[in-house]
Amino acid sequence: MTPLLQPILGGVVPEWLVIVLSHLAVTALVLLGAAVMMMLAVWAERRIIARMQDRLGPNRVGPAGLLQSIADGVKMFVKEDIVPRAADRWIHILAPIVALAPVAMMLAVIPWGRGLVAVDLDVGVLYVAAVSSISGVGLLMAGWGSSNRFALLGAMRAVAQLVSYEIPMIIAILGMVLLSGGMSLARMPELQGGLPIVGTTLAGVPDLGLGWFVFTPVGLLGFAIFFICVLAEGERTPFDIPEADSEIIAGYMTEYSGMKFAVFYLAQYILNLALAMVTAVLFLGGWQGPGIAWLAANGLDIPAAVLSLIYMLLKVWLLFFVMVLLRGAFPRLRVDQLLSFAWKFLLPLALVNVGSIAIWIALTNWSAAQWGGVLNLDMLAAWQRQLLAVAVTAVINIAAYRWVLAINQPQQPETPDELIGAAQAS
Amino acid sequence: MLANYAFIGIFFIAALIFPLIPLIAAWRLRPARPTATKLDTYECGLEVIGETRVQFRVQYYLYALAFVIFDVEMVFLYPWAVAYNQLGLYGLLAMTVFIVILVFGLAYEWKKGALEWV
Repeated sequence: MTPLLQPILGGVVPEWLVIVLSHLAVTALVLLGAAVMMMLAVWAERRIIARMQDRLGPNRVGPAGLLQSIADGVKMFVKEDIVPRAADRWIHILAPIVALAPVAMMLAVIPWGRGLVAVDLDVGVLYVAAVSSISGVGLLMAGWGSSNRFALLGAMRAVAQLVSYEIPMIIAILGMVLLSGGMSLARMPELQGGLPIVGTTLAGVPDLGLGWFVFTPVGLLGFAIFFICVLAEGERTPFDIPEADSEIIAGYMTEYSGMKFAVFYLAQYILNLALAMVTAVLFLGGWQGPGIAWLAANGLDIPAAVLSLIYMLLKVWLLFFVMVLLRGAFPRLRVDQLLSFAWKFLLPLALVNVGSIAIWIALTNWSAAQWGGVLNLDMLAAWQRQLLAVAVTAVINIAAYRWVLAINQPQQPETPDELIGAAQAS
Repeated sequence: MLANYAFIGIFFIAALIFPLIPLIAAWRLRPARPTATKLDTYECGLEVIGETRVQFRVQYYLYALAFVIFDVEMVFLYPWAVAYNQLGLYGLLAMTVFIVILVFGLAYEWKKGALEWV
């Protein structure tokens, strides 16, 4: 943004002010973009869920119901706000702000396209992991401040769930830090060019921008773990026990109405979209795609930026679409199932995946000196080492998956068939 | 690089203002006609009896303790992950020992039943 504003304001105001103003403009653009995407996401989700449930969904306001979210927003503005008499007034009022602000801060380091990032922070992934966990405090404030049993139950469930799924999530991120050797989120897509699996190591082949981490065995397992954790962190349906409507009303949002409810809603959808963006950047190549490298090599930076933005948005909306499909297809889990899935299934698998990423790097990158003379792979070509690494890590990961399934075999009968079988045996 | 953190600061202020704009606008626009029944705690239409701030299950504390252990250990792993490519076999072995201790702790917790919902 600075190069755009420099010619306009260059002579009028000092240089540092131009830089600050350009960052303010970028910040406003990012937040506005997120708000617009949130409105589209709400509309898309309602339409898709309606289609899956054999209804029409909102289709009256504007073309195909597109303006429904704006109509809802207007209604929220003029709706009376109720703070219950028993509630802790200030905590009740501050909770939606504490829930939304960290989520909005996440957007600062996420690259929207080639060169389109608000702040290229060198510890981007650590920043995302740290900031995204703060909004849990807002949820607990909402539950506690409402002085309502359902709200407090919902808040306890929400915090237990956020905390449990954060562990496999940051281990999956750790794996990607290991694989890319850096913590900058903005530089992550640059490393995912080239061809699937082999990346940019093959000489003489055009850079197709398809070397996404998800195409490697380690990246695929990391993607699966991370995406499940994204569903849990965003409280998407198989994991939506904190606000399970049919048992605890609306969870921590029970006592909220009007705009404060809308801010919680906004926080949740922006969190979903931001986490979908992080998933796309870490595993699906972010803005990488066929044609970007060619455009950039020919000096067409602006078309490359536009194309990369389109690729990025396509991937984000694809991930969001999958989230909506899962919501339409799956019933809700129980609290104990949900927490033991995080600790007993995802966590061991994530730890094994870190080990196999370490082995992947050792097999593809290390010289004989780094191996300490144990193994010498220097005579193999780069692509041969890549294929060796694929084979070894695929075997490790499949074995780990089968092992984790085996140790998680239920001890007691759970399904109706099992119960009948157990009853007949005894 | 330090300038980047200043821009994170700008983003932080903007992120605080972001929810405040609709909240303050709604505060000016909406009606406020509180009545005694309206301000009651919601309890599916019943009178609220007893303390609403129910006690936390002890299970939540066990999960929280396990979370703290793993979260701190993961922070130790991040610098290792960044430097891994330069460390060589020694770095791999050292971290294997570290993760094995971690896994041993998890297995102990599992066997003790701290991860069961009782």
